[in-house]
Amino acid sequence: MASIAFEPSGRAADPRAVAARAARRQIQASRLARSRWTPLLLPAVLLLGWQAGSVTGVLPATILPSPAAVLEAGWQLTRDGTLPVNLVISAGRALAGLIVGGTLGLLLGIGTAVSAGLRRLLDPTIQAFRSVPPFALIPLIILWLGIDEGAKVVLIGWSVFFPLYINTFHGVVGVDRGLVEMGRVYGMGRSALFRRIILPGALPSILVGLRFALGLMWLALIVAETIAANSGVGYMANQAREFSQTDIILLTVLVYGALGKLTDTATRAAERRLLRWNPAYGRK
Amino acid sequence: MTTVATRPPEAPSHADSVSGAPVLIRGLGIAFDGNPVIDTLDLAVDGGTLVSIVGRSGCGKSTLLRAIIGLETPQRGSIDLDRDRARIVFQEPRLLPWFDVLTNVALGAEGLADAQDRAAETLALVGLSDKARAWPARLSGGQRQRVALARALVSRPRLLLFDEPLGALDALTRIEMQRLIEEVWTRHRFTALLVTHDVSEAVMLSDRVVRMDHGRIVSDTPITTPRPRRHGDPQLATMEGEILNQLLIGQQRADHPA
Repeated sequence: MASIAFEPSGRAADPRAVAARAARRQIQASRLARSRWTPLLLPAVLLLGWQAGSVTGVLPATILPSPAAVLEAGWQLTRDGTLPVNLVISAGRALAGLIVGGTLGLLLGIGTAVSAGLRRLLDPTIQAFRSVPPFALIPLIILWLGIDEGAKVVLIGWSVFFPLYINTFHGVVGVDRGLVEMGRVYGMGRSALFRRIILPGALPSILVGLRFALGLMWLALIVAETIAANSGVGYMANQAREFSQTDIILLTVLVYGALGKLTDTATRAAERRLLRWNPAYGRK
Repeated sequence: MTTVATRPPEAPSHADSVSGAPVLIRGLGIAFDGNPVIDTLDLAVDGGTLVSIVGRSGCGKSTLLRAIIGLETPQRGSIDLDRDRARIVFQEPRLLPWFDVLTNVALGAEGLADAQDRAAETLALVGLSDKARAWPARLSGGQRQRVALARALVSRPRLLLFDEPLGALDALTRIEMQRLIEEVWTRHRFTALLVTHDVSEAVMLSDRVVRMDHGRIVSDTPITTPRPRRHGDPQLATMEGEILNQLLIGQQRADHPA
Protein backbone atom coordinates (compact mmCIF):
# COMPACT_ATOMS: atom_id res chain seq x y z
CA MET A 1 0.00 0.00 0.00
CA ALA A 2 2.81 2.28 0.86
CA SER A 3 4.24 1.53 -2.56
CA ILE A 4 1.47 3.54 -4.28
CA ALA A 5 2.69 6.69 -2.67
CA PHE A 6 6.18 6.13 -4.04
CA GLU A 7 5.11 4.93 -7.50
CA PRO A 8 4.27 7.80 -9.81
CA SER A 9 2.95 5.33 -12.41
CA GLY A 10 -0.71 5.10 -11.24
CA ARG A 11 -2.23 7.64 -13.64
CA ALA A 12 -5.51 8.47 -11.94
CA ALA A 13 -3.99 9.12 -8.55
CA ASP A 14 -0.84 10.85 -9.78
CA PRO A 15 -0.81 14.15 -7.90
CA ARG A 16 1.63 15.69 -10.37
CA ALA A 17 -0.71 15.16 -13.31
CA VAL A 18 -3.58 16.71 -11.33
CA ALA A 19 -1.43 19.69 -10.48
CA ALA A 20 -0.35 20.10 -14.09
CA ARG A 21 -3.96 20.10 -15.32
CA ALA A 22 -4.90 22.68 -12.70
CA ALA A 23 -1.95 24.81 -13.76
CA ARG A 24 -3.01 24.62 -17.43
CA ARG A 25 -6.51 25.70 -16.50
CA GLN A 26 -5.07 28.60 -14.54
CA ILE A 27 -2.97 29.71 -17.51
CA GLN A 28 -6.04 29.63 -19.78
CA ALA A 29 -8.02 31.67 -17.28
CA SER A 30 -5.31 34.23 -16.81
CA ARG A 31 -4.89 34.76 -20.54
CA LEU A 32 -8.35 36.33 -20.55
CA ALA A 33 -7.57 38.17 -17.33
CA ARG A 34 -4.24 39.51 -18.55
CA SER A 35 -4.86 40.53 -22.13
CA ARG A 36 -5.12 44.22 -22.83
CA TRP A 37 -7.82 43.53 -25.42
CA THR A 38 -10.20 41.85 -22.96
CA PRO A 39 -12.02 45.07 -21.94
CA LEU A 40 -12.62 45.90 -25.61
CA LEU A 41 -14.20 42.54 -26.38
CA LEU A 42 -17.74 43.34 -25.26
CA PRO A 43 -17.94 46.79 -26.91
CA ALA A 44 -16.63 45.25 -30.15
CA VAL A 45 -19.26 42.52 -30.10
CA LEU A 46 -22.05 45.03 -29.34
CA LEU A 47 -20.87 47.37 -32.07
CA LEU A 48 -20.64 44.60 -34.66
CA GLY A 49 -24.08 43.31 -33.65
CA TRP A 50 -25.51 46.81 -33.95
CA GLN A 51 -23.97 47.34 -37.38
CA ALA A 52 -25.19 43.90 -38.52
CA GLY A 53 -28.69 44.68 -37.23
CA SER A 54 -28.75 47.94 -39.18
CA VAL A 55 -27.43 46.43 -42.39
CA THR A 56 -29.96 43.58 -42.32
CA GLY A 57 -32.79 45.97 -41.49
CA VAL A 58 -33.63 44.44 -38.11
CA LEU A 59 -32.94 47.88 -36.56
CA PRO A 60 -34.80 50.60 -38.53
CA ALA A 61 -32.59 53.62 -39.22
CA THR A 62 -35.21 56.03 -37.78
CA ILE A 63 -34.99 54.30 -34.38
CA LEU A 64 -31.30 53.42 -34.31
CA PRO A 65 -29.09 54.37 -37.24
CA SER A 66 -26.01 52.24 -37.81
CA PRO A 67 -22.68 53.09 -36.15
CA ALA A 68 -21.36 53.89 -39.58
CA ALA A 69 -24.15 56.42 -40.08
CA VAL A 70 -23.41 58.07 -36.72
CA LEU A 71 -19.75 58.30 -37.68
CA GLU A 72 -20.74 59.74 -41.04
CA ALA A 73 -22.90 62.39 -39.36
CA GLY A 74 -20.02 63.26 -37.06
CA TRP A 75 -17.70 63.68 -40.02
CA GLN A 76 -20.18 65.87 -41.89
CA LEU A 77 -20.80 68.14 -38.89
CA THR A 78 -17.09 68.41 -38.21
CA ARG A 79 -16.36 69.40 -41.81
CA ASP A 80 -19.01 72.09 -41.96
CA GLY A 81 -17.85 73.44 -38.58
CA THR A 82 -21.13 72.88 -36.69
CA LEU A 83 -19.75 70.36 -34.22
CA PRO A 84 -16.47 72.16 -33.36
CA VAL A 85 -18.22 75.50 -32.88
CA ASN A 86 -20.92 74.08 -30.61
CA LEU A 87 -18.38 71.94 -28.78
CA VAL A 88 -16.31 75.00 -27.92
CA ILE A 89 -19.43 76.87 -26.77
CA SER A 90 -20.49 73.98 -24.52
CA ALA A 91 -17.01 73.49 -23.09
CA GLY A 92 -16.76 77.23 -22.42
CA ARG A 93 -20.04 77.20 -20.46
CA ALA A 94 -18.92 74.19 -18.44
CA LEU A 95 -15.58 75.79 -17.67
CA ALA A 96 -17.14 79.13 -16.69
CA GLY A 97 -19.51 77.37 -14.28
CA LEU A 98 -16.68 75.28 -12.86
CA ILE A 99 -14.48 78.31 -12.28
CA VAL A 100 -17.21 80.33 -10.59
CA GLY A 101 -18.73 77.57 -8.47
CA GLY A 102 -15.49 75.69 -7.88
CA THR A 103 -13.51 78.71 -6.71
CA LEU A 104 -16.29 79.68 -4.36
CA GLY A 105 -16.52 76.13 -2.99
CA LEU A 106 -12.76 75.94 -2.51
CA LEU A 107 -12.50 79.29 -0.74
CA LEU A 108 -15.52 78.79 1.50
CA GLY A 109 -14.42 75.22 2.28
CA ILE A 110 -11.03 76.49 3.43
CA GLY A 111 -12.59 79.40 5.29
CA THR A 112 -15.07 77.33 7.28
CA ALA A 113 -12.43 74.69 8.04
CA VAL A 114 -9.89 77.22 9.33
CA SER A 115 -12.20 79.56 11.22
CA ALA A 116 -14.68 78.26 13.77
CA GLY A 117 -16.56 81.56 13.63
CA LEU A 118 -16.99 81.38 9.87
CA ARG A 119 -18.08 77.77 10.18
CA ARG A 120 -20.85 78.60 12.63
CA LEU A 121 -21.89 81.53 10.50
CA LEU A 122 -21.99 79.83 7.09
CA ASP A 123 -21.99 76.06 7.29
CA PRO A 124 -25.58 75.47 8.50
CA THR A 125 -26.94 77.64 5.69
CA ILE A 126 -24.73 76.03 3.06
CA GLN A 127 -25.79 72.56 4.24
CA ALA A 128 -29.44 73.62 4.00
CA PHE A 129 -28.93 74.84 0.44
CA ARG A 130 -27.15 71.61 -0.38
CA SER A 131 -30.30 69.62 0.23
CA VAL A 132 -32.03 71.54 -2.59
CA PRO A 133 -31.55 69.61 -5.84
CA PRO A 134 -29.89 72.02 -8.28
CA PHE A 135 -32.43 71.29 -11.01
CA ALA A 136 -35.28 72.37 -8.74
CA LEU A 137 -33.90 75.87 -9.21
CA ILE A 138 -34.34 75.85 -12.98
CA PRO A 139 -37.72 77.66 -13.10
CA LEU A 140 -36.40 80.31 -10.72
CA ILE A 141 -33.17 80.72 -12.67
CA ILE A 142 -35.06 81.10 -15.93
CA LEU A 143 -37.41 83.62 -14.33
CA TRP A 144 -34.54 85.70 -12.97
CA LEU A 145 -31.88 85.30 -15.62
CA GLY A 146 -33.78 84.19 -18.69
CA ILE A 147 -32.12 81.55 -20.83
CA ASP A 148 -28.88 83.43 -21.37
CA GLU A 149 -25.37 82.27 -20.65
CA GLY A 150 -25.66 83.61 -17.10
CA ALA A 151 -28.42 81.14 -16.29
CA LYS A 152 -26.31 78.19 -17.45
CA VAL A 153 -23.25 79.34 -15.54
CA VAL A 154 -25.34 79.72 -12.38
CA LEU A 155 -26.82 76.22 -12.74
CA ILE A 156 -23.44 74.62 -13.40
CA GLY A 157 -21.73 76.70 -10.72
CA TRP A 158 -24.39 75.75 -8.17
CA SER A 159 -23.90 72.06 -9.00
CA VAL A 160 -20.09 72.03 -8.70
CA PHE A 161 -19.99 74.23 -5.61
CA PHE A 162 -21.11 71.59 -3.10
CA PRO A 163 -18.75 68.70 -3.80
CA LEU A 164 -15.79 71.07 -3.79
CA TYR A 165 -16.97 72.85 -0.66
CA ILE A 166 -17.53 69.67 1.33
CA ASN A 167 -14.38 67.85 0.24
CA THR A 168 -12.18 70.91 0.75
CA PHE A 169 -13.64 71.39 4.20
CA HIS A 170 -13.02 67.77 5.20
CA GLY A 171 -9.56 67.79 3.63
CA VAL A 172 -8.45 70.84 5.59
CA VAL A 173 -10.02 69.68 8.85
CA GLY A 174 -8.40 66.26 8.44
CA VAL A 175 -4.84 67.53 8.06
CA ASP A 176 -2.60 65.78 10.61
CA ARG A 177 -2.49 68.03 13.70
CA GLY A 178 0.98 66.73 14.48
CA LEU A 179 2.32 68.17 11.22
CA VAL A 180 0.74 71.56 11.92
CA GLU A 181 2.24 71.51 15.41
CA MET A 182 5.64 70.64 13.94
CA GLY A 183 5.33 73.54 11.49
CA ARG A 184 4.56 75.93 14.33
CA VAL A 185 7.51 74.92 16.53
CA TYR A 186 9.76 75.02 13.49
CA GLY A 187 8.87 78.65 13.03
CA MET A 188 6.40 78.65 10.12
CA GLY A 189 4.12 81.67 9.91
CA ARG A 190 0.44 81.41 9.02
CA SER A 191 1.05 81.72 5.31
CA ALA A 192 3.84 79.12 5.25
CA LEU A 193 1.75 76.77 7.37
CA PHE A 194 -1.07 77.08 4.88
CA ARG A 195 1.03 76.69 1.73
CA ARG A 196 3.35 73.97 2.92
CA ILE A 197 1.22 71.89 5.27
CA ILE A 198 -2.52 72.56 5.15
CA LEU A 199 -3.06 72.87 1.42
CA PRO A 200 -0.90 69.88 0.37
CA GLY A 201 -2.44 67.85 3.19
CA ALA A 202 -5.95 68.64 1.99
CA LEU A 203 -5.14 68.13 -1.69
CA PRO A 204 -6.09 64.44 -1.99
CA SER A 205 -9.55 65.25 -0.66
CA ILE A 206 -9.87 68.39 -2.80
CA LEU A 207 -9.10 66.34 -5.92
CA VAL A 208 -11.80 63.83 -4.99
CA GLY A 209 -14.18 66.80 -4.76
CA LEU A 210 -13.00 68.00 -8.16
CA ARG A 211 -13.77 64.66 -9.77
CA PHE A 212 -17.28 64.67 -8.32
CA ALA A 213 -17.68 68.27 -9.42
CA LEU A 214 -16.65 67.49 -13.01
CA GLY A 215 -19.26 64.75 -13.24
CA LEU A 216 -21.96 67.11 -12.00
CA MET A 217 -20.65 69.88 -14.27
CA TRP A 218 -21.39 67.87 -17.43
CA LEU A 219 -24.71 66.75 -16.03
CA ALA A 220 -25.78 70.33 -15.32
CA LEU A 221 -24.53 71.44 -18.74
CA ILE A 222 -26.62 68.82 -20.52
CA VAL A 223 -29.72 69.73 -18.55
CA ALA A 224 -29.20 73.44 -19.12
CA GLU A 225 -28.62 73.01 -22.84
CA THR A 226 -31.49 70.63 -23.32
CA ILE A 227 -33.99 72.89 -21.59
CA ALA A 228 -33.12 76.13 -23.30
CA ALA A 229 -30.24 77.05 -25.58
CA ASN A 230 -29.62 78.39 -29.05
CA SER A 231 -26.11 77.00 -29.34
CA GLY A 232 -24.00 74.19 -27.94
CA VAL A 233 -24.01 70.41 -28.14
CA GLY A 234 -27.37 70.19 -26.36
CA TYR A 235 -28.88 72.61 -28.84
CA MET A 236 -27.64 70.37 -31.67
CA ALA A 237 -29.41 67.44 -30.05
CA ASN A 238 -32.64 69.41 -29.70
CA GLN A 239 -32.53 70.58 -33.30
CA ALA A 240 -31.88 67.02 -34.44
CA ARG A 241 -34.91 65.82 -32.47
CA GLU A 242 -37.12 68.32 -34.27
CA PHE A 243 -36.00 66.91 -37.59
CA SER A 244 -35.87 63.28 -36.37
CA GLN A 245 -32.12 63.06 -37.11
CA THR A 246 -31.42 60.14 -34.80
CA ASP A 247 -27.83 59.88 -36.04
CA ILE A 248 -27.04 63.39 -34.77
CA ILE A 249 -28.76 62.73 -31.44
CA LEU A 250 -26.62 59.65 -30.97
CA LEU A 251 -23.58 61.67 -31.96
CA THR A 252 -24.25 64.25 -29.23
CA VAL A 253 -24.63 61.44 -26.70
CA LEU A 254 -21.20 60.15 -27.73
CA VAL A 255 -19.71 63.65 -27.56
CA TYR A 256 -21.03 64.20 -24.03
CA GLY A 257 -19.65 60.82 -23.03
CA ALA A 258 -16.26 61.60 -24.54
CA LEU A 259 -16.14 64.97 -22.77
CA GLY A 260 -16.84 63.33 -19.42
CA LYS A 261 -14.22 60.67 -20.03
CA LEU A 262 -11.69 63.30 -21.10
CA THR A 263 -12.01 65.41 -17.94
CA ASP A 264 -11.97 62.33 -15.74
CA THR A 265 -8.78 61.08 -17.37
CA ALA A 266 -7.20 64.51 -17.03
CA THR A 267 -8.07 64.72 -13.34
CA ARG A 268 -6.66 61.28 -12.73
CA ALA A 269 -3.45 62.26 -14.48
CA ALA A 270 -3.32 65.39 -12.30
CA GLU A 271 -3.83 63.21 -9.23
CA ARG A 272 -0.95 60.96 -10.19
CA ARG A 273 1.27 63.97 -10.74
CA LEU A 274 0.28 66.03 -7.69
CA LEU A 275 0.05 63.10 -5.28
CA ARG A 276 3.13 61.24 -6.48
CA TRP A 277 4.54 61.44 -2.96
CA ASN A 278 1.70 59.19 -1.83
CA PRO A 279 2.48 55.50 -2.34
CA ALA A 280 -1.18 54.93 -3.28
CA TYR A 281 -0.74 57.10 -6.38
CA GLY A 282 2.92 57.53 -7.23
CA ARG A 283 5.57 55.21 -8.59
CA LYS A 284 8.84 56.85 -7.57
CA MET B 1 33.70 61.87 11.26
CA THR B 2 34.09 62.70 14.92
CA THR B 3 33.23 59.70 16.98
CA VAL B 4 32.67 59.30 20.65
CA ALA B 5 35.90 57.37 20.98
CA THR B 6 38.10 60.32 19.94
CA ARG B 7 36.99 62.34 22.95
CA PRO B 8 39.45 62.24 25.85
CA PRO B 9 37.83 60.50 28.81
CA GLU B 10 38.82 63.34 31.15
CA ALA B 11 36.94 65.91 29.08
CA PRO B 12 36.15 69.07 31.03
CA SER B 13 32.72 69.66 32.49
CA HIS B 14 30.08 70.45 29.88
CA ALA B 15 29.10 73.61 31.67
CA ASP B 16 31.82 75.62 29.94
CA SER B 17 30.60 74.63 26.50
CA VAL B 18 29.85 77.58 24.26
CA SER B 19 26.97 76.16 22.28
CA GLY B 20 24.61 74.59 24.82
CA ALA B 21 21.99 76.89 26.32
CA PRO B 22 21.01 76.46 29.97
CA VAL B 23 17.39 75.92 30.97
CA LEU B 24 15.96 77.23 34.21
CA ILE B 25 12.44 76.27 35.25
CA ARG B 26 10.94 77.62 38.45
CA GLY B 27 7.63 76.82 40.10
CA LEU B 28 6.08 75.55 36.88
CA GLY B 29 2.40 74.64 37.07
CA ILE B 30 0.20 73.31 34.26
CA ALA B 31 -3.31 71.96 34.63
CA PHE B 32 -5.67 70.50 32.05
CA ASP B 33 -9.32 71.10 32.96
CA GLY B 34 -8.35 71.74 36.55
CA ASN B 35 -6.24 68.57 36.89
CA PRO B 36 -2.63 69.46 37.64
CA VAL B 37 -0.24 67.78 35.19
CA ILE B 38 2.86 69.73 36.19
CA ASP B 39 2.87 70.72 39.84
CA THR B 40 5.33 73.35 41.11
CA LEU B 41 8.23 71.90 39.17
CA ASP B 42 11.77 73.24 39.46
CA LEU B 43 14.53 72.14 37.13
CA ALA B 44 17.89 73.64 36.27
CA VAL B 45 19.85 72.17 33.36
CA ASP B 46 23.42 73.30 32.70
CA GLY B 47 24.32 74.31 29.18
CA GLY B 48 25.67 71.45 27.08
CA THR B 49 24.53 68.62 29.36
CA LEU B 50 22.36 65.69 28.37
CA VAL B 51 19.58 65.13 30.88
CA SER B 52 17.01 62.36 30.69
CA ILE B 53 13.55 62.54 32.17
CA VAL B 54 11.99 59.21 33.10
CA GLY B 55 8.69 58.34 34.69
CA ARG B 56 5.51 56.36 34.23
CA SER B 57 3.01 57.26 31.55
CA GLY B 58 1.01 60.27 32.60
CA CYS B 59 3.63 61.63 34.99
CA GLY B 60 3.82 64.85 33.00
CA LYS B 61 7.18 64.38 31.30
CA SER B 62 5.92 64.99 27.75
CA THR B 63 3.87 67.96 28.91
CA LEU B 64 7.01 69.41 30.46
CA LEU B 65 8.82 69.16 27.13
CA ARG B 66 5.89 70.66 25.24
CA ALA B 67 5.83 73.55 27.71
CA ILE B 68 9.54 74.16 27.20
CA ILE B 69 9.16 74.36 23.41
CA GLY B 70 6.06 76.54 23.74
CA LEU B 71 3.27 74.12 22.80
CA GLU B 72 1.66 74.33 26.24
CA THR B 73 1.03 77.52 28.17
CA PRO B 74 1.89 77.24 31.86
CA GLN B 75 -0.53 78.69 34.41
CA ARG B 76 2.22 79.33 36.92
CA GLY B 77 5.98 79.64 37.14
CA SER B 78 8.63 80.53 34.63
CA ILE B 79 10.80 78.91 31.98
CA ASP B 80 14.01 80.73 31.08
CA LEU B 81 15.58 79.81 27.77
CA ASP B 82 16.30 81.10 24.29
CA ARG B 83 13.42 79.50 22.37
CA ASP B 84 14.74 80.71 19.02
CA ARG B 85 17.55 78.22 19.22
CA ALA B 86 15.47 75.35 20.62
CA ARG B 87 14.27 72.37 18.59
CA ILE B 88 12.22 69.28 19.34
CA VAL B 89 12.20 65.73 17.96
CA PHE B 90 8.79 64.14 18.43
CA GLN B 91 8.00 60.49 18.98
CA GLU B 92 6.63 60.31 15.43
CA PRO B 93 8.95 61.69 12.73
CA ARG B 94 6.29 64.20 11.55
CA LEU B 95 7.90 64.59 8.14
CA LEU B 96 5.87 66.31 5.43
CA PRO B 97 5.08 63.44 3.06
CA TRP B 98 4.73 65.74 0.02
CA PHE B 99 8.30 67.02 0.24
CA ASP B 100 11.37 64.94 -0.43
CA VAL B 101 13.81 64.16 2.35
CA LEU B 102 16.17 67.05 1.64
CA THR B 103 13.35 69.62 1.59
CA ASN B 104 12.07 68.22 4.87
CA VAL B 105 15.47 68.69 6.48
CA ALA B 106 15.78 72.20 5.04
CA LEU B 107 12.51 73.14 6.79
CA GLY B 108 14.53 73.17 10.01
CA ALA B 109 16.69 75.99 8.66
CA GLU B 110 13.95 78.01 7.02
CA GLY B 111 14.87 81.61 6.46
CA LEU B 112 18.60 80.94 6.30
CA ALA B 113 20.23 81.65 2.95
CA ASP B 114 22.24 78.43 2.94
CA ALA B 115 19.39 76.19 4.10
CA GLN B 116 19.84 73.73 1.23
CA ASP B 117 23.59 73.35 1.75
CA ARG B 118 23.16 72.93 5.47
CA ALA B 119 20.41 70.38 4.89
CA ALA B 120 22.64 68.31 2.62
CA GLU B 121 25.45 68.51 5.14
CA THR B 122 23.23 67.47 8.04
CA LEU B 123 21.71 64.66 6.01
CA ALA B 124 25.24 63.34 5.49
CA LEU B 125 25.79 63.55 9.25
CA VAL B 126 22.91 61.16 9.87
CA GLY B 127 24.10 58.95 7.02
CA LEU B 128 21.23 59.46 4.59
CA SER B 129 22.81 61.46 1.76
CA ASP B 130 21.66 58.87 -0.77
CA LYS B 131 18.02 59.40 0.26
CA ALA B 132 18.01 63.17 -0.33
CA ARG B 133 15.51 62.96 -3.20
CA ALA B 134 13.38 60.12 -1.81
CA TRP B 135 9.82 60.55 -0.52
CA PRO B 136 9.47 60.01 3.23
CA ALA B 137 6.92 57.26 2.56
CA ARG B 138 9.72 55.19 1.01
CA LEU B 139 11.89 55.19 4.14
CA SER B 140 11.95 52.76 7.06
CA GLY B 141 10.84 53.93 10.50
CA GLY B 142 14.43 54.31 11.66
CA GLN B 143 15.42 56.28 8.58
CA ARG B 144 12.45 58.62 9.02
CA GLN B 145 13.45 59.32 12.58
CA ARG B 146 17.00 60.06 11.42
CA VAL B 147 15.59 62.57 8.93
CA ALA B 148 13.61 64.13 11.78
CA LEU B 149 16.83 64.33 13.79
CA ALA B 150 18.60 66.00 10.85
CA ARG B 151 15.73 68.51 10.56
CA ALA B 152 16.17 69.35 14.26
CA LEU B 153 19.95 69.67 13.93
CA VAL B 154 20.14 71.69 10.73
CA SER B 155 19.69 75.05 12.44
CA ARG B 156 22.45 74.22 15.00
CA PRO B 157 20.13 74.42 18.01
CA ARG B 158 21.48 75.28 21.44
CA LEU B 159 18.77 73.21 23.08
CA LEU B 160 17.38 69.99 21.68
CA LEU B 161 14.34 68.28 23.18
CA PHE B 162 13.60 64.63 22.49
CA ASP B 163 10.09 63.41 23.24
CA GLU B 164 10.50 59.61 23.28
CA PRO B 165 12.04 59.73 19.81
CA LEU B 166 13.00 56.06 19.82
CA GLY B 167 9.82 54.67 21.34
CA ALA B 168 8.48 53.26 18.08
CA LEU B 169 11.71 51.69 16.82
CA ASP B 170 12.88 48.09 17.00
CA ALA B 171 15.66 47.18 19.44
CA LEU B 172 18.61 47.27 17.00
CA THR B 173 17.53 50.49 15.29
CA ARG B 174 17.11 51.95 18.75
CA ILE B 175 20.69 51.24 19.69
CA GLU B 176 21.93 52.72 16.41
CA MET B 177 19.88 55.84 17.00
CA GLN B 178 21.15 56.13 20.58
CA ARG B 179 24.71 56.06 19.26
CA LEU B 180 23.84 58.65 16.63
CA ILE B 181 22.26 60.96 19.18
CA GLU B 182 25.27 60.66 21.47
CA GLU B 183 27.60 61.27 18.54
CA VAL B 184 25.91 64.45 17.32
CA TRP B 185 25.55 65.68 20.89
CA THR B 186 29.27 65.12 21.47
CA ARG B 187 30.04 66.99 18.29
CA HIS B 188 27.70 69.97 18.65
CA ARG B 189 27.40 70.21 22.43
CA PHE B 190 23.84 71.45 22.51
CA THR B 191 21.89 71.04 25.72
CA ALA B 192 19.69 67.94 25.41
CA LEU B 193 16.56 66.94 27.30
CA LEU B 194 15.50 63.39 26.57
CA VAL B 195 12.11 62.10 27.67
CA THR B 196 12.08 58.31 27.63
CA HIS B 197 10.33 55.24 29.00
CA ASP B 198 13.52 53.28 28.73
CA VAL B 199 15.67 53.54 31.85
CA SER B 200 18.64 51.74 30.27
CA GLU B 201 18.58 54.25 27.41
CA ALA B 202 18.48 57.12 29.90
CA VAL B 203 21.39 55.76 31.90
CA MET B 204 23.42 54.97 28.80
CA LEU B 205 23.14 58.46 27.29
CA SER B 206 22.74 60.96 30.10
CA ASP B 207 24.78 63.06 32.45
CA ARG B 208 21.77 63.11 34.77
CA VAL B 209 18.59 61.09 35.02
CA VAL B 210 15.65 62.96 36.47
CA ARG B 211 12.62 60.99 37.61
CA MET B 212 9.16 62.54 37.50
CA ASP B 213 6.06 61.47 39.35
CA HIS B 214 2.68 63.21 39.49
CA GLY B 215 4.00 66.35 37.85
CA ARG B 216 7.01 66.80 40.12
CA ILE B 217 10.65 65.85 40.02
CA VAL B 218 11.17 63.22 42.69
CA SER B 219 14.75 62.15 42.12
CA ASP B 220 17.83 63.36 40.33
CA THR B 221 20.66 60.89 39.70
CA PRO B 222 23.98 61.97 38.19
CA ILE B 223 25.57 59.37 35.89
CA THR B 224 29.30 59.84 36.14
CA THR B 225 30.46 56.79 34.19
CA PRO B 226 32.97 58.09 31.62
CA ARG B 227 32.12 58.00 27.91
CA PRO B 228 32.22 56.12 25.64
CA ARG B 229 29.91 53.83 27.57
CA ARG B 230 29.35 50.18 26.82
CA HIS B 231 26.04 48.36 26.83
CA GLY B 232 26.21 45.96 29.77
CA ASP B 233 28.65 48.04 31.80
CA PRO B 234 28.14 46.85 35.42
CA GLN B 235 28.21 50.37 36.85
CA LEU B 236 25.48 51.49 34.42
CA ALA B 237 23.52 48.33 35.17
CA THR B 238 23.58 49.15 38.90
CA MET B 239 22.33 52.67 38.21
CA GLU B 240 19.62 51.34 35.96
CA GLY B 241 18.53 48.87 38.64
CA GLU B 242 18.33 51.60 41.26
CA ILE B 243 16.25 53.93 39.11
CA LEU B 244 13.94 51.12 37.99
CA ASN B 245 13.46 50.19 41.65
CA GLN B 246 12.52 53.75 42.52
CA LEU B 247 10.01 53.77 39.69
CA LEU B 248 8.45 50.53 40.89
CA ILE B 249 8.33 51.61 44.55
CA GLY B 250 6.84 54.93 43.54
CA GLN B 251 4.15 53.02 41.74
CA GLN B 252 3.47 50.77 44.77
CA ARG B 253 3.06 53.84 46.92
CA ALA B 254 0.63 55.28 44.43
CA ASP B 255 -1.31 52.00 44.33
CA HIS B 256 -1.41 51.55 48.11
CA PRO B 257 -1.30 54.97 49.74
CA ALA B 258 -0.39 54.57 53.41
